[in-house]
Amino acid sequence: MTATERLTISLLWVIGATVFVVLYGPALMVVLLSFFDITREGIDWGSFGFQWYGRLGDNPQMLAALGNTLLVGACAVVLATALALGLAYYMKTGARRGRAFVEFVIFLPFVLPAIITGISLLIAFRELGLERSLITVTIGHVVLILAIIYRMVTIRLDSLENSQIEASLDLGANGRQTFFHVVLPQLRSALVTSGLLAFTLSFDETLVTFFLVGGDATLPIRLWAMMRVGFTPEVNALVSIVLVVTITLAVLGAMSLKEAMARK
Amino acid sequence: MNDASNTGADAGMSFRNLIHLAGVGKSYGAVNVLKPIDLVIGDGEFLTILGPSGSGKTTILRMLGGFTPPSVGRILLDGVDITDMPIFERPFNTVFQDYALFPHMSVARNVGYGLKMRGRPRREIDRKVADVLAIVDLADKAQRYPAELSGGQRQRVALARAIVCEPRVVLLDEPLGALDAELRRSMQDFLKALQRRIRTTFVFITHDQEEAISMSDRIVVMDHGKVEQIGTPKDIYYRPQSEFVAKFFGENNVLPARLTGSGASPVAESPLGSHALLGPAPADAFSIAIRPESFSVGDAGTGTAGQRSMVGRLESLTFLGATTQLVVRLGEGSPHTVKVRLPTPDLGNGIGIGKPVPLRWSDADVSILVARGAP
Repeated sequence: MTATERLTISLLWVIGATVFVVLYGPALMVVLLSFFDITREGIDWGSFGFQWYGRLGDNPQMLAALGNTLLVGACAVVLATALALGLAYYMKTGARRGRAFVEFVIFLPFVLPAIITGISLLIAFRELGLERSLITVTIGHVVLILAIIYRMVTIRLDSLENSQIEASLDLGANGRQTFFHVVLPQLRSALVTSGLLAFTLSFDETLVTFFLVGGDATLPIRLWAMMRVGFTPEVNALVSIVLVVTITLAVLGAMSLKEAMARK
Repeated sequence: MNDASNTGADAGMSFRNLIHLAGVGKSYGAVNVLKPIDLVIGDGEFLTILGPSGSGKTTILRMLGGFTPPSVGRILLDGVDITDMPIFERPFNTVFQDYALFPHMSVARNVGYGLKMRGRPRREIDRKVADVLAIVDLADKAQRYPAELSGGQRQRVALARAIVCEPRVVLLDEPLGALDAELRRSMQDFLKALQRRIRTTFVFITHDQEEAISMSDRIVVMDHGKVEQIGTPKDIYYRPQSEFVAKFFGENNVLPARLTGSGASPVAESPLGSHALLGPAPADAFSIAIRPESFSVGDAGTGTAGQRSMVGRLESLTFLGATTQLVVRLGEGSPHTVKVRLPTPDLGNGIGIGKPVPLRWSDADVSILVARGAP
């Protein structure tokens, strides 16, 4: 190895480390701070402990916001998955007219500025006489994440040969049996992966939610509101928990994807 | 158009009529992918539908399986109209070109799928799956997944899956297309033996002439959405009825002919001389065909009825191993040549390029071809 090569490699390591620190530093900082007291003089290194995690349990507003977020995310993912699955399978099982148009409409909220989507939904709900609540937030999230789930289901369905569906029918299965025995099992990994991804999106979605939320705040909305009065250290604890959960979900999603690829 | 009712009877085989395609055709808008055909498929028959791609052969199979509804005509099974019967109710099973195995199921579950969907008890499924896997020699692979099998093994799983439900007809859509030449030949033998063993009707799609000839009881030759000829492999090979069929199977000599004589005694005039036509007269101008191996060389043995001879001039001579191919010009200054194929040991010493060659053949070996496009 020449000196130049050694220098280049060292330089690449430095750049890589810098990028890593810039990307993950703030998150790690939050996790670190969640274990210490912060005083006017700085961090009190002697105060290491889970006290903020304990305090979190005493903050009912925060816990309610977390619960709302989880509820909205779960409902939105289930609803959007059912819709996307039905629509994608319908499009797969025949030459459907208007497919391009329907897909365009589905993808529109995903590419439109969130503020437009938020205001549009707000106006629509008002016209319908629907009070702002967690229900409207859930519907808004469904509109947003439908595109992701639909896309991933469609990609998987497209790689499923039509001959497999024909083979199933040929072997005496009706349409319903074919769907549950042949199609759905092969979509499982796509559904899990897109579900996790969509849940993550719903979890931190702020802008559209801001227009649709009623009395019950979601976590991002609660955090945003707290910014005006200043954060308390239990926010660090909460963010740390969210971080761990999100990383776990992402790893699970990646593993399910990898397993599915290996089978294929 | 061929007579639809000759279900292998002309070859000494007799099959009970099982399926009748009555005037079945398919068109997409103005595009006619299959002109209406009449075809009777016998019970227990190995019927091959042969043609180049785009000839409409797969369309016939897909209509039989119920995947594509015919535009016109009816499909009858044992005299019962099944044209509108849904796929999953038809007592037919298909071996797909890409095998269409379910990748998320083991071999045993793939094979047992049809029985399970028909609500058979678990015990019966297990037994039948084991039986049929033994037949296709995959008993030890029952718990494997399709991705872990070789191409030939997947093919046999697809086959097992299609026969385990004991269908009335097995439809095979170019199932050997993806296999290499050696495996292909052994699968041909295997398929034929299997078909004899289970005595089930096979409708086999291929574009491979050799495959069709070696496996089939009868062959339906298709081209451009039209049936060119239906017959036994020997019929198709030695008695082609159209130029397409004559040229589709191996080497053949196709020569132009004219109709002379008239009324009760039509005569065909060709570079090989004139001969009386036995059947109805074709169009004024048509072709005749004779196989290269139908010629022999030599002066001796004249006098037999129907024997013909002519002296030509040898243009070229190609040694092919067991046989040797000669190209002979039919007379001095004639524009026509014929290919002659002789067993190499039969070549006499007198044969040399530029020298005269005495050709002999029998009238019975000359086929009269209906001109392309004639009804």
